[in-house]
Amino acid sequence: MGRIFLDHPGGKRIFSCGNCSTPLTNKDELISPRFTGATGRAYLFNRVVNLTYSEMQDRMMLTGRHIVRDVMCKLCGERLGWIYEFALEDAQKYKEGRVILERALITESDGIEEI
Amino acid sequence: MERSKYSKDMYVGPKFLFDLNSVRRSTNNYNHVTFEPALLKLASQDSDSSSSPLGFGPPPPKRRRPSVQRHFNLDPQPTDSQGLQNRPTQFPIQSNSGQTVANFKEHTVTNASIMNGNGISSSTESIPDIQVKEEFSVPLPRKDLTPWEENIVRLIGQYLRRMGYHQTVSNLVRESGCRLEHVLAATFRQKVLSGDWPGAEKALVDLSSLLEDQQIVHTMRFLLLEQKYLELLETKQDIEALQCLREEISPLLPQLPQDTEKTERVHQLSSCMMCRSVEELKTCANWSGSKGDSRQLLVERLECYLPVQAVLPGDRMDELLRQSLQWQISQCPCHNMYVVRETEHEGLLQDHLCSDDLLPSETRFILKEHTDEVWFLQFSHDGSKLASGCKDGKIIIYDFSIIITEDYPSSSPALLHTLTAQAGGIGYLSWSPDDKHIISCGREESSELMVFSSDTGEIRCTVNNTREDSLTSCAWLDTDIFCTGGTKGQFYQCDLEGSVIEQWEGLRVTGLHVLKDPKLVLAADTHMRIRQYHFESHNDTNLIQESDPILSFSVSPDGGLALLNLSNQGLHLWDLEDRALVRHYTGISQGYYAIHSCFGGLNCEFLASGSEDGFVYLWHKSNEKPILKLSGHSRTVNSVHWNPIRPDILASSSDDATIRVWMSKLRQPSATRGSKRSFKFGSRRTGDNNPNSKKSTHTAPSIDRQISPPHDHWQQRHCSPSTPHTSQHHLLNTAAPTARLISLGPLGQLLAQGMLPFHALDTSTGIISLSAGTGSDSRTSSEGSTAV
Repeated sequence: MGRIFLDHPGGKRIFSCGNCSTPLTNKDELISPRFTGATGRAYLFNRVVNLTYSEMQDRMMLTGRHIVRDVMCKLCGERLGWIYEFALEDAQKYKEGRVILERALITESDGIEEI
Repeated sequence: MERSKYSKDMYVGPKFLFDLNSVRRSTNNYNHVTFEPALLKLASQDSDSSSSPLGFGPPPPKRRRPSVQRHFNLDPQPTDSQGLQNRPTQFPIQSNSGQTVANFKEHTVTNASIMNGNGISSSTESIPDIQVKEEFSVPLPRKDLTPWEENIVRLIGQYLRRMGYHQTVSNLVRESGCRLEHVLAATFRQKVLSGDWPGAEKALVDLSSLLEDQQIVHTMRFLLLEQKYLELLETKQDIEALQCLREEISPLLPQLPQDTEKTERVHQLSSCMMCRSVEELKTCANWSGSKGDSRQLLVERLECYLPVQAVLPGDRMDELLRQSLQWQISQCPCHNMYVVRETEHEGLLQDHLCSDDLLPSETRFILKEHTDEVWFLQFSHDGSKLASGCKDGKIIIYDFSIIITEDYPSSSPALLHTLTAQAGGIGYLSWSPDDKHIISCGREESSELMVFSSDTGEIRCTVNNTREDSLTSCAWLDTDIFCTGGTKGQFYQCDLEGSVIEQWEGLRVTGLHVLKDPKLVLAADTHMRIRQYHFESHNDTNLIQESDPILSFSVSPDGGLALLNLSNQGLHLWDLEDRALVRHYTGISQGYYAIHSCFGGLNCEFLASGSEDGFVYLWHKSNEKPILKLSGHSRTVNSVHWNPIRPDILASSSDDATIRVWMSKLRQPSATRGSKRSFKFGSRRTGDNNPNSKKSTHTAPSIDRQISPPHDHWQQRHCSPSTPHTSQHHLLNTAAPTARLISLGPLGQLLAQGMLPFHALDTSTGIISLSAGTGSDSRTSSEGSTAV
């Protein structure tokens, strides 16, 4: 399986995998915290690293029909949320390419001052 | 006006070229070269008599002698007669058509006398008298040669003369009508070598017509007078020496272009007056004495000022061919020969082209001691050990000390130590500069770094600052100091006690390397960049900014280049000094796993990398497409490392829990080497149908590679005397194609190749040399390449 290469999002406030603490994204990437997932509150992020993606799925959400993929932690494989591949409603197009991480599955920690 | 015509004539044709070049090669020869009127008599007899002007005298005492001269082009050559009879200078200009019998005779006389004076002999037996008579009485029509052809003939003539084939040279000169060099230059050289200073100065005045810049005459005269002065001192003729210094050298100074240098030299020369002994004089003036090679050196220095049309630079043909070979080697797509010199000659007969068999292209050993994925490996700096790190936290050190000394290592590398390190797996290893210690780093979650002694396998120290740390990469600053870092923001400088001496905050390190001079730490970080850090001065600078995450990077041994494995972007080669992307290498698949690449091969001209598709890829630095794709591993190849000592040994580690040691294909057991070699040679040249060759599977189909006969230079260097040797086979093997290949075609090609670097290096001289032909590269260029 090789040594999995893990990227780092950097930033002052870092969101990591709740299972293995792999850094995923930071607060600067956060678009909206007002989403809901299977476990409750979920966040929408602009860019998230260290993920793997499932096959595409057609899902009916509260906001309409979307084609999405589940996202998993690259290191431990834990399912953390999903990514919007395609939104059928124009009003939801802004979500395409963005990632939902469920709040209960991720942890938040402080980053460092970077140069 | 006459002068200008004269020099113009010289450029147009070879008629003023005179063959005495080799006189300067042997200082002894000048004694034979006389222009005494006494010899005229003998020579004139020759011209009248039926005896061959070609041959008289005993066999040549030396290999390098002046060759026979005959002026068939019959341009009046006043300097000959001037040199002989001290007549006033005149430069009659006459075309070939204007020749007269009288002229012809005069020249025959002159040249014959020179020949005779040189002690030249050629056998008369081989040339019937009648034929010789005909040759001389009926001037052969000169072939119309282009300047290019003419220069090649001159080169050939010069070469033949050096080889001692004087009769051939004389035939060549006669048939082609080309003189090898100018008669004035020959006269001048002879005067200098014989120490005839007034004569030399006179000859210099004559020579000035050949020079474009008349200032040079003064410089040349200065050199002449310097020699004259020193020789006078040497022979204790102090009064004459003083006179020379006062009356001749000093007045010359204002006319010289670079005054300061020459003035200093004059001061030095005048101080030589004080020397008590000859030895002291030689030391004082940095001079080898008239009996030494000083006159020869003087001639060489002086001839540098003469146009190449008048005097060919020494060994010009060899120089050109050597340049051509260098160029061929520079064009070789996978040059990995260890000893070039031994088969240099083969490049003369056919274009040099290394076989990729010389690259580590064949699995020699499969090391199966690891029980899990092997994530990293690295050879020690002396190439004698290989350390490999496994996912299960074990490090194995293999002994390569025997393998790197053997042509065909028979036994697999021995296992030296098995070390237990980070339980989460070994992500990175680094040998100390003296190979005594080895650092092991773990994965992202590992907060502990371990330093092992490579001799005993014991833990020397650990770095375990806090449990929150992540130490995933390291590099040695010195034998007892190293730096380490990780993506959680650690960047430490540590000593061998395991304590952190210094730390740098604010970056998440993904890879580290140390540049030796000055001690700079290069660190790749999570912002997809490589920055350099100087711990003492706390200076940091951005070096490289990439657009994709850097998986790993390595630095060339000279510290000038960095090779980056990028997530989804292949391999990028950066020039660290210019901070510019040099090349982007394609072929590999990576991005998910941390894949490592390396520099290696002869002069580190090659690159290697692992890949997620299970192949090992090899590139030549100059080509973005891989030259070899080595198959063998069944899963991701995580790491490769080229042996620093042996350019033909490469090790690769893979998820299939094996390490493969790749070596060149030509390392056959000595008993079968000869037959195997010739078989390979034949079959590969005829279209690569060799069933043993894995080339078809190894090679990317788009790459056009010609296969040259394989030469295993390593073997040549290391073969014991009892081993049936290969150079014989080389000779035999190449004999057949050689016979077919030899013609003027390849020569012209070689010469053309030899000229190419000049155009590339120096456009001004390149253009001149192109217009004037082969013999006229600038002196500075040829000197420069000799130095190379």
